[in-house]
Amino acid sequence: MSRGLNVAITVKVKLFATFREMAGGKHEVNVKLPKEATIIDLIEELPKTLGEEVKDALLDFKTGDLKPLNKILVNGCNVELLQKLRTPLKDGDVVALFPPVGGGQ
Amino acid sequence: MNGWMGKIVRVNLSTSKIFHQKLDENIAKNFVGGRGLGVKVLYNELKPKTNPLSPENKIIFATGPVTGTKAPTSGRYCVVSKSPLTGTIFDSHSGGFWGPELKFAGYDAIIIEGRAEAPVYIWINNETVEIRDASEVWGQDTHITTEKLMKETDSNAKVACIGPAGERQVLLAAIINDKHRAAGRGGLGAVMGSKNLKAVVVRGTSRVDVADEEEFSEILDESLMVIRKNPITDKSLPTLGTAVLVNLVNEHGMYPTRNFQEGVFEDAEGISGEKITETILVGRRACYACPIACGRVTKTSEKEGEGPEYETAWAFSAQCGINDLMSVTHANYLCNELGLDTISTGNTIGCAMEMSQNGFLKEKIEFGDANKLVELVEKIALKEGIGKELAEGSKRFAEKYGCPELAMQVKGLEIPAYDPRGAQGHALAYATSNRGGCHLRAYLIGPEILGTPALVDRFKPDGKADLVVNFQNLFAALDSMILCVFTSFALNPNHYAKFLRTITGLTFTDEDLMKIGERVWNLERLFNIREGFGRRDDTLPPRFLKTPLPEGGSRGRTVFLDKMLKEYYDLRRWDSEGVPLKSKLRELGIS
Repeated sequence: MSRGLNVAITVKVKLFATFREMAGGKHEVNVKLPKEATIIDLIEELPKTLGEEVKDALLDFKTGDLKPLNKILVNGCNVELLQKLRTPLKDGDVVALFPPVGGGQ
Repeated sequence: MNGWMGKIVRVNLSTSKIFHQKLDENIAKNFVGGRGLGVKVLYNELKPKTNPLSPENKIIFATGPVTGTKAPTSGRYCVVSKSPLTGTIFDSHSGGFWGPELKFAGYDAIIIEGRAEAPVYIWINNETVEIRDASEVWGQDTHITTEKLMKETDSNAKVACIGPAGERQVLLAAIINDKHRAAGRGGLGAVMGSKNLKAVVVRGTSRVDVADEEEFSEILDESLMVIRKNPITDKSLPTLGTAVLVNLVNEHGMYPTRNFQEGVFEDAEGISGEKITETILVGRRACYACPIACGRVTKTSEKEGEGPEYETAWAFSAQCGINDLMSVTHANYLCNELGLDTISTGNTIGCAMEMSQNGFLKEKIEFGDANKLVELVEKIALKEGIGKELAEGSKRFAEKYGCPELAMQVKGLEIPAYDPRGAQGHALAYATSNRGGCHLRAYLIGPEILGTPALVDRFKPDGKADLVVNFQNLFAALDSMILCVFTSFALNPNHYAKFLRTITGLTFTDEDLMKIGERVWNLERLFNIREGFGRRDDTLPPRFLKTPLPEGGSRGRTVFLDKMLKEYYDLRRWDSEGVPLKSKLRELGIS
């Protein structure tokens, strides 16, 4: 019963580039999280549906920080410019995950 | 000389005179080569208001001292001229293998002027330079031309040529080398066409001397290591190519859709780097001496070739509201074969689509019509039907029909695949570019989106002028050495200066490098001012200043140009009209 009260929000996670391979080919997944969840909570929750690889690619396990050049966008905004891993999430947010990418011709 | 070959060849197509010239040491020291060399020569030698399609215009194929050594990405060359599309000074760059071959033949550059009476090509075979009859290949596409000319000259020769588009002086015409590489922007293919010059073919067998082999080896190893450690140059570009940017830019809400009316394309996924890799990709391709290998060898059920790259994928999909990868890929192959700039072509077609949507055109050209897209690409190249008008570019086309505000261009050059409302610095870069709407004069997408060298807030105008100035100077220096700007994701001015020192044997510090870039930038500005450009041209189409993006990650945004532009002029030490102060010119030695 109390567990039911904790699952308060659902966010959509979109995976791109090499993260898709790491997630066994998945492009998108909906993740249920507690009400006050932040980005780090989301990342910790990912292995349940995606396996360990994406989380390991994102987080430096020694420092607990995001590995450089990875991009996490919440509704199009890079979390580095919000509250980084402590950026709060709300129901219906779209979180896009990118490994280091570049280009431009 | 080390690095440089010390020799330039001059060809006058009107008189058929060919002569060799020593590379001026002062030009070499102060402008290095490539873009800098081209700009300096044209500033000195072209009369103001020269018609770009007249025999008086000159076209220069230039390399730098680094070209043809083993430095990473040292395979590039550039073509410099006065552009018939923009009227500005214009350098257009390309990779592949043509550049090093010119060095191996013993030349740093070839400068061409005049007009041949009948179609010709230039054949550079080590020291021997000839003007030859091109009637057998005039009218042929770039692939057939390349094959035929290699047969006629040398099986190891490298060919840079125009297709039917350049022959007809289409203002969007490109110069294609090694079949799949393009000096695309600015209509320099039309300049060749106006001279009846079908191709420049090169074969060379010497090598480029390096001043200090040991030290060069050291910086070579160091730079390769840095490139291999960098996730962009080592992983994402090699595995997914430049089109890896499609989804990234789309998620940021600045992927220009249907002629920049929106910033999110609902079908971006269908024409993304990921999709290309899953479906049509058959292999990677590297240019000469390149460890990154971002080139995409691709195949559909009907044809094969290279690409589409990020810009091309955008120009023929989101810009035109088209979600069919096959059509986009075929349009891409067609542009390579016919010799067209994919960015300007796709952008111009998208402009026509919005004009048609708003009732400005008799002909129905609808967003999403993939068949129409391919039909128009051909029509533009051949100047058939409405293609004849589209071949003038979006600015002239929209002006002709009374809706100039619908052309997404700066100084006449069509804006590429990043909506400026999504990144203030990148917007300033577009507005202040010396060659018009270009993302490569200063790739602010690096700091504003990719987070390299460090992430900055893309929506804040603060500090952007400084970033733009620095990137413009650095890239002008790289364009003169010549090295591919993709190395700048990994390398820094220190590395570049060391390459210059060890290769040429001359003292170059990283300050020198940036100063050279600044010098080239200011000389380009002087050229453009002489042609009548000023502050009013350092601007953006009104849509970006006045109309907020409706939805997506950049919704509600417009560009704060005035504030950034003032700061930009101040930093550059230009007056309020954007004219370089005399003191700045004296400091750079170009008054």
